[in-house]
Amino acid sequence: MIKTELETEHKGSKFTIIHCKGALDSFHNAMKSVDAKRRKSFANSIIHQIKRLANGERMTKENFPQEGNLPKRPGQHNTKKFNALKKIPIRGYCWLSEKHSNTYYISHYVHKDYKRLKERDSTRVENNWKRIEENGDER
Amino acid sequence: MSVNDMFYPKDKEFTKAEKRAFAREKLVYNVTEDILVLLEDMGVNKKDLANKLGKSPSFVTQILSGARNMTLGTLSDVCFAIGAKPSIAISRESTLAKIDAIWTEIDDTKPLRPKKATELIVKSIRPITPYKNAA
Repeated sequence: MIKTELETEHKGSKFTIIHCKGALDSFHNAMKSVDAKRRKSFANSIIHQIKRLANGERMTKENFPQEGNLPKRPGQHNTKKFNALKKIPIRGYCWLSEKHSNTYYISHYVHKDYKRLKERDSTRVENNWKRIEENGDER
Repeated sequence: MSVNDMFYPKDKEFTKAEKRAFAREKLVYNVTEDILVLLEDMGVNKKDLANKLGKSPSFVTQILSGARNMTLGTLSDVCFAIGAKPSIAISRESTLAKIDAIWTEIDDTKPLRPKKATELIVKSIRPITPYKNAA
């Protein structure tokens, strides 16, 4: 798979899904821990999930759970969450943008063979969120 | 622009077997996700559903994760158990000429360029009665 030829954005009938810088690389890294025979199936599963999400069809808490908190803006009281595209053991962490309407950003993927969300993953989502939602990077 | 282009190079040629597997995974994912959405809405967990079906929770987990094939009979049983009515439509996506072209490609060893294929579409699974009134 030649990564440079891959698209980072998909526009569905309701939402646009964008991979953040490095997200697709993280997908390929996460897939290295998956049995080689099943990699294609895992990639296809994530494709089907992204397609469904982009078309605004409902996603379940089981396969699209809320996994952690997004940073708070000044004066914001309620905490907003980020979700995960889930195909055990792969997770793709993403959030619904407030800066860009009807747009989900996928921060990165991990091979999650542990229960609790790791701080490094929260931090990576947080950094991407700040970069895009506050600093106006990417788009 | 297709989602596939996010994960596969645009010029990637898929074999017929790969396309068939992709179509199968798409159907399985969307049907099981529709069922799971309905279960969540009804507040029914997999253990409850297993009890209704007279099956083990692991059986339900397997069919709803796609790890185990769900027969049409089981799909019907699941829908009946939760008071839902499956709505299934099978339609041709493309012109007859294209369909004919797909059927004439009989060599699985040669990669094929992506083509639209006849697709089985499960339109929706909707509740027809409240859960408490279901059989």
